[in-house]
Amino acid sequence: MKLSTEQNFNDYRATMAKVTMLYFIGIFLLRLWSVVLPFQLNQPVLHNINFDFTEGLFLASGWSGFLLHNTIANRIFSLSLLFLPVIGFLRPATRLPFILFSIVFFTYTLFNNLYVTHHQHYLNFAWLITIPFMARSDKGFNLLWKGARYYACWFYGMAFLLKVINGGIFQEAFGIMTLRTQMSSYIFAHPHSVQTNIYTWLFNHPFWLNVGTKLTFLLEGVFLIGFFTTRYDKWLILAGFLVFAFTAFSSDVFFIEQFGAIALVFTRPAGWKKRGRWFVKPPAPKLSI
Amino acid sequence: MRNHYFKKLWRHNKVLCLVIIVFMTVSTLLSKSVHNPYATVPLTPFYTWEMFSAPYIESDHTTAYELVCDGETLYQPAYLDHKKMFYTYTITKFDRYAQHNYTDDRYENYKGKLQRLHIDTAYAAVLSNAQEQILQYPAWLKSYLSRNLGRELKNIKVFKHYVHYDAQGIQHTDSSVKLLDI
Repeated sequence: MKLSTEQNFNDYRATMAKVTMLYFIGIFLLRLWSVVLPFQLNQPVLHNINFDFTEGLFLASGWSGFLLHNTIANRIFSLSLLFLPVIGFLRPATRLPFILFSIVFFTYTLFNNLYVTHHQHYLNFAWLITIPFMARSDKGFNLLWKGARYYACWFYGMAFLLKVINGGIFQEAFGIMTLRTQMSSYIFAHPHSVQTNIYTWLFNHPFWLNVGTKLTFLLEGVFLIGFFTTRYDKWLILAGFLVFAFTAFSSDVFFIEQFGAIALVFTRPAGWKKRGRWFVKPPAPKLSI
Repeated sequence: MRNHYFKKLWRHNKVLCLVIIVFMTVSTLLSKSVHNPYATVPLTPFYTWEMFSAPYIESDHTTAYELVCDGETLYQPAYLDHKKMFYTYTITKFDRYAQHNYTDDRYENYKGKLQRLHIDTAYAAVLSNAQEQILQYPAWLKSYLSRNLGRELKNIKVFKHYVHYDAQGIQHTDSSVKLLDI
């Protein structure tokens, strides 16, 4: 029996471009609704480069200040985040909107992290999946898309391995400490909610909290399988969803961008073929006389 | 690897193959670990998920922040993380600066790093927040929250509560500090 079948995304590039652009439109509509797009921030006064050299260059060059304080630049920057994916969706065969969007989105990750004063790493992976669409040839696109998938296997696998190397996985009270510190403001604000009652129950039943914590770590570790086979990719999407859901429950964060990007890169060609019918008209059959 | 990804990539485009290998290598070298001497600074877009990898210092005590808008405590659930991110993260930074007499304590760190890199140390002032900026934060927070919530706020307060958990896992407040009131 063949362990892994040949996977080619070449034929589905247009469908993948359309779905990926819909994903980005969704992200930026969520951010528009959440009042966090650059033009909605009322010009924040604090920044934090968090010792990041690239962030430092972005700030010291004056580029971040220009995008924040120049009203026209700020509006164009914000609008391009919403409209470049729309152009990409409408013209999936044209590379220019994808190249421009990749540049603008990378600038946005720097801008957002600088003024939110925190490194939101999950935006970096979302940015990475814009790169394959810049490829000139379909073969290059295929290889870059597979590269993004391997990168996802690598960073989730590393997240697991670092917990082993740095020792977090071996601490019995890791789950309790995560809930106590990450959820303390929530518990303070909602002392009698159902969610707080679940946390209190877990504090009193640390065995189950420990099981949940170790399970979340192992779900990151299973991505290492992805280096050897694509057979379990749909289960890796489920693993990614569970990591996302458990992290939201225990750490009060909502990495929906990361989960969306994971769902995209682990969708196999057969999945794109199925979805392709919704987005791209199949070519007309050739008639021979 | 049965599908020989890097072999195919090498045949297709050698430069691209090297770029991808370098990308993954640099990301690995920048992973924060006590065993990794290269993990000195983050460098976007290279990153690893090293957060939540080291053991905690175990304690029953921690802190909780409370944001009060026109007399009502505001705390959005996790699924509204995007809506709240620009004030939750910045409040903790403001608290940190307030503890240092409303100055950015990282100024000296940046100065030291720039000196080691032989870069003009005057940039440390650009990289850190000036006291003037820090003191403008309460007014910015009020105006941003008004926009974020879609109503003009008359007053906002931020408290930092020192809390502990008892043997039954119930949270109790030991003391509170008012961080801002505007």
